[in-house]
Amino acid sequence: MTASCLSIISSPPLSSANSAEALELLLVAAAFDVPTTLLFSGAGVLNLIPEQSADGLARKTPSKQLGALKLYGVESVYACKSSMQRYGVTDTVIDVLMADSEMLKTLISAQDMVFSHR
Amino acid sequence: MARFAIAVHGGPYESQAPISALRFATTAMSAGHEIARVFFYHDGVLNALMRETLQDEANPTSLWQKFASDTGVELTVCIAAALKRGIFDEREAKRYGTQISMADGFVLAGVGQMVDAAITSDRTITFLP
Repeated sequence: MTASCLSIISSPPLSSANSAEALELLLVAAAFDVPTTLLFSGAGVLNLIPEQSADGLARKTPSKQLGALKLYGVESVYACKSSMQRYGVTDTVIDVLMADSEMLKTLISAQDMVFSHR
Repeated sequence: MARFAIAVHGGPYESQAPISALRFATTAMSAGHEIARVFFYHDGVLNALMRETLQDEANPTSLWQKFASDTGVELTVCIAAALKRGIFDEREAKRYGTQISMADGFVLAGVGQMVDAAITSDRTITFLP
């Protein structure tokens, strides 16, 4: 399979099920052997904050899902640099590459498929 | 002529996403383009709920049903997103000992169907809430 896939997550982890479901779609794409990239943008960068727990909130704990990315072969994870600054996210629960607006443009246009979620 | 995969991520009463998707799909097909599949995800799966038509109100589910019967395009509903939102077809209703709540004309399937449609299409278009 040569087609490449990018998932963009722009919703925060605990206020809806959107980011959790977006990660599910991404993991399925990765299981199809599609080269898969993940980008956190806007409030989506809040998924990256370490030591969040969804206990009692009827949501998935983001770090558990994010920890599965490597198992599924998702190595390329990006975060929008200006969103990280705006939301004050400095520590991340998994390794991410910082992308400025030029890199974002290149990243998105290089993909065969883009799945946006919010 | 191009082939499109369409994802609908918004529910019928919270967003404009489904009606925009429907209008896009209808227009694209009348211009000779092909729609690989319409895939309902997130709260978009709520478009597939059985519902009553109230006086003077459009019924979003019927609009999709008409589109599917006019065009033969498959309306695929993500099974995981659907089950947790209370949408069951005959088979799942039997499995979980509950009642059918999904309207005719929609099909439950795994999210892999979205990936498959996207891989085999020229463009993937997502309609967000």
